[in-house]
Amino acid sequence: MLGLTLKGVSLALREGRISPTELCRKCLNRIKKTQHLNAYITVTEELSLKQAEQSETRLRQGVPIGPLDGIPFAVKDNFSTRNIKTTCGSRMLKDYTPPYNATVVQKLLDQGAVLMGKTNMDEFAMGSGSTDGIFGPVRNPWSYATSYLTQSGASPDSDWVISGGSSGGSAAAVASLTSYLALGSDTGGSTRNPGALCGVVALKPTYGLLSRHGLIPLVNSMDVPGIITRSAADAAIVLGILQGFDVKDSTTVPSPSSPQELPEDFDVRNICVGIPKEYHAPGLSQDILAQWSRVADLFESAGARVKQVSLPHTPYSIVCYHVLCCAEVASNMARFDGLEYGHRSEMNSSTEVMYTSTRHEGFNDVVRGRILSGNYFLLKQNYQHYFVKAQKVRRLIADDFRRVFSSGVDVLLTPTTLADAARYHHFTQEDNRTRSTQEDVFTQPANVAGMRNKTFKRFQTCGRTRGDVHRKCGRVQGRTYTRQYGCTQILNGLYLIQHLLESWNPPKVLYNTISHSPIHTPIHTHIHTHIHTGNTSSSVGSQGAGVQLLQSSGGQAGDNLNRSPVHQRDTHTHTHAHTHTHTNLTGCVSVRENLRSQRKSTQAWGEQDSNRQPSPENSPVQAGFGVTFIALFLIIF
Amino acid sequence: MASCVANELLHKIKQLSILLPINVCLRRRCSTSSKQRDSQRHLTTKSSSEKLVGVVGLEIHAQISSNSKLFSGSPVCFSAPPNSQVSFFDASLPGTLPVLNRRCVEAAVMTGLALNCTINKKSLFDRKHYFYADLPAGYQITQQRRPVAVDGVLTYSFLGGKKRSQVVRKHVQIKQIQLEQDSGKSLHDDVHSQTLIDLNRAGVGLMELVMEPDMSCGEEAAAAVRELQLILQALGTCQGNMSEGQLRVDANVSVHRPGEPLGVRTEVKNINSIRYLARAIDYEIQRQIGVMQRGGTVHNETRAYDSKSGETIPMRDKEGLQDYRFMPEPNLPPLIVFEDNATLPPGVDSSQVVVVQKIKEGLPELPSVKREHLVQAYGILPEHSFTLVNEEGLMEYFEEVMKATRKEPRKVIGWVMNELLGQLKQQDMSVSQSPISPAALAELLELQETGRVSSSGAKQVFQVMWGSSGKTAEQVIQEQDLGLVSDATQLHNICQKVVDSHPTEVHAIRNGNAKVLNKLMGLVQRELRGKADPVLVMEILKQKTRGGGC
Repeated sequence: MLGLTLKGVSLALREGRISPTELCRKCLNRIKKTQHLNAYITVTEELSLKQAEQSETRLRQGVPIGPLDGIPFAVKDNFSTRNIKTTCGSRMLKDYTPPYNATVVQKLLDQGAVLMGKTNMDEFAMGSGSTDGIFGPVRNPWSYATSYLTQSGASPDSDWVISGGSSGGSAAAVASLTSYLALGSDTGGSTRNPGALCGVVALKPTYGLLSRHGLIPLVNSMDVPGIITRSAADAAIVLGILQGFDVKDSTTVPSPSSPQELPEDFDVRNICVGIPKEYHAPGLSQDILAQWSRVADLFESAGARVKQVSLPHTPYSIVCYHVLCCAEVASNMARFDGLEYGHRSEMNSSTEVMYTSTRHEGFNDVVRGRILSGNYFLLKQNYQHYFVKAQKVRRLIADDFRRVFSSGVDVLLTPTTLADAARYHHFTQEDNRTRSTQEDVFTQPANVAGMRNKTFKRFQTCGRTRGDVHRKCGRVQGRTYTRQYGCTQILNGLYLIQHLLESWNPPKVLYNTISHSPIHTPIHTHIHTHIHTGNTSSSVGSQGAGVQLLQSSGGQAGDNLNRSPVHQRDTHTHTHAHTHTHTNLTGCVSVRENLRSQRKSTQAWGEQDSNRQPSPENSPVQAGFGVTFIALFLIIF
Repeated sequence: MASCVANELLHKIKQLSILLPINVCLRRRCSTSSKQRDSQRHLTTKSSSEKLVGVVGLEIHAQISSNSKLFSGSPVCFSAPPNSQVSFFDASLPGTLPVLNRRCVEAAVMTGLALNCTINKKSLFDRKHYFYADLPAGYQITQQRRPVAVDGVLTYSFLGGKKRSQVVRKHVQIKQIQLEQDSGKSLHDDVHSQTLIDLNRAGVGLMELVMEPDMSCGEEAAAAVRELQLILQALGTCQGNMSEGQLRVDANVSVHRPGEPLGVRTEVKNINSIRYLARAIDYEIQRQIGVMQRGGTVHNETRAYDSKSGETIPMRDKEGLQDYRFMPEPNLPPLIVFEDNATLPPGVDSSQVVVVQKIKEGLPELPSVKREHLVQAYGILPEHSFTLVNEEGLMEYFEEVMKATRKEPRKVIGWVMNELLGQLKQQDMSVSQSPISPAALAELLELQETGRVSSSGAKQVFQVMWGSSGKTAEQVIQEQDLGLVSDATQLHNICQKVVDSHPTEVHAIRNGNAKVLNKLMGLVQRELRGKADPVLVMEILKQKTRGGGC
């Protein structure tokens, strides 16, 4: 039951094969059994059961709210959750309890989904391994798979592999079957990367499609809430629920009328797949390269047109990303001064001393390092040389994508990471910055290019597979399942995008990145798909002014009626219809199979993780619950 | 070309050997060195023939009169209990995002239009960073790169000339009007060595108006601010009360010899009334002239005005010169306003956006128009119209009186300017505090007009009414017996007495010196404490002094 997809378990709930409370208990038990993974920072057991009971009442009465009613989900610990600690994996917010829910969290709760807990991450989402948070590293569930252990001869306690990051806890939660769905956040690849390394679907939606309200920011202009599921169809369902304009986030756009379910018929022969040559980057492992070509071949043999394309500014993207990232980090982190909430230092001889020591104690080296660099880039004498230049480069990168997509390419196929998940001890030999540079190399261009005000919006699906060759002996079923799904997802994902584009009138840019990682075989393919509507370059200018953003105050004051949309995006925004899908493919054969048979996968994900050995020293940190600290009346000293 | 930029960035980054060192310890001070001070010019005293003159520019923060804050839904309310008007966004809870208040944009556009500004159809928001306890986010959202309105001009007047009765008209350029957030308030308790923070004000919408250094003295600056205050109040975009901090004025003051480059300027803060503004600026100009004449140099610094001593004193320099590390605000798309409904993109509801034309049509009558209107409607002098409009409530008072009396406007204005305003000024009261209502004054003037009381009697009545509010003019006249004496017999008797006791004067009159009649008139009035009907008395006196008569 735990191995079902969201869609499958939703059906099981409705048919009464399992009750929400039973399901919730099963997940809670599994969380306990997999404590050594350190996927969760906070498990909301009591609340989960309460929500499950409420859901059970609804289901018993035959009035479920929607497809998510009763379904367990997990949330990365940088999404605000009312009355539930939200730590960002940082000492700074170790005891911080927000008084409100992030919009995306609220939307899931409104659907009757059951929150299991808050997942582990790199401190303030700065990292690509989920190794740099105060609650310790997240272990990749596949480190404990029998096949992996037998094949590698690894010892699970010392040779475990990282989960990827920064949303490693969320990916591990979905992969270890403790949640059917998890929210991550993606700034430079933070959802897609762990999705790839943990073998689950990770979707990074277009910037502006999902509300960021309540997501504790890393880089406001690139942050996107990410969706982690076990199938693309599931991701589509969740996307349908979460997307849309939010009065509390001025950068959101109205949702296109997208299908909540993926259609079955999609003709791969109609698409053109682009292979960006710049993604053949130094350090790309042989495995990944092989898989990349294999998937490209698959597309080709299925009838799609596959051609090499060029995104010439790709090599500059990572530097551009770092400058912009640090600058925004420096700015966003300025609020953590220990006055209103969060950690406050004991040193209080003056306000300045308190600020300094609070921030020194509250942030780790990675965060402090980025703040320092960011402030350096923003200094008056440096601003033109770094920030402004990086902005220009950002524009060039966006232009690259636009050019490719207006040349008839529908989809880009790229790897997600340079190599497979690294062993923890190997990964930590290099510092966070080096690792981030390596890990984000394929993922961050999509974030960089997708800023608002750029000429297109993305609806990006990124996927990738973590493979485990050795699983095939024992887990044929599971594997078949994964393969089928992997393929279906990509195609359906494309269809989804296509459909979105059609329904979005006039042509708009949509990007979608679905990351799917099947479980076995070291297949690390990552497909970047993009679909555009055909009306390419002309759509830029012809569209005229963009979409109007409506606003209202959302407060109780009397101006509410007056308060409305004053923001207008500039002319080029949203005018260019593009879809950009990042996907990771595994089972190539099944692409064709699926095309032909359209058969549904009914295969349940076996309990393939049952052999995991819990290791006591890895129990998740159960830090004491602090008192909410929203000081409205503050006394310093 | 394109890769050129990218390469440059790459090169720059490579040069940065210190980028992200491990174990960096973040220190929050990002102040620049005192390099900027090098720019100070060392002015030596020149021949005194060229006089040093003051140059004054103003930076004005006007709190926007709105029901809720600039980026949040919290109510805006002066003197609410501390921290009772604070939303999650105002307290900078992580994950909260700004949502622009349309009313604030409309207020800024309206103000821009009233000040003849160009309204930028697209403006941008930026973050300005500094650490201070009452700035919860660590940055203020403002409009540094592209403000909502630019290049305006404010025309203001003041009473100049020898008798202070001549209307002098001047102009000051408005560089820009930008929207920004207000900060909270810090209360420093030195006794317990603690700081209390009140975030009620944090996030309230402000319009920052930057005036070019087109003024030369305190009086001009005060007049400009007063005119601005009147305009803002007429528009309803800001209540303009300086003592409540709704209008905050910082003055940039420097001195130079005409024709030479501007001198080093100081910024004078902590000015909470227009009167103090003029005094602070004049003090600062004199201080700087003094420094220069002694051969010293003026330092670029921030000074606070101390209203008790009337001096400006250097403020404790917080952290040296700040580098605000400006950055575009990523959570707010560009702010777009539309010229008119025709320019709206299809599908956009005009009630959901800011349309300049619509605001232009809704502009109320501005003070300068009001003054012209008064001069034309009542035939009063321009300086009177100036005073009527500039004294809060005085114009309304005057017009109320005019409605209820047949008296000539020029005479009414005399009463309003001399009696009413004189009394108010003497007692430092506002028009609204006047114990005599417009209706009561009108009644008094009517009584004078109909001959119930003499002009000097009326003034006495006015004084009595001022001191014992609530009494009508008629009551006072009766109680104090101030009514005009027009009883012929009584007047005859008094006149006879005066004529009899002043034979010399009578003789002179009879010899043709008619002026002496006035003296006798005065004597009669003195007898009757000014209550005698002057027309009647004159007639009787003429009769009685006619040669051979009686």
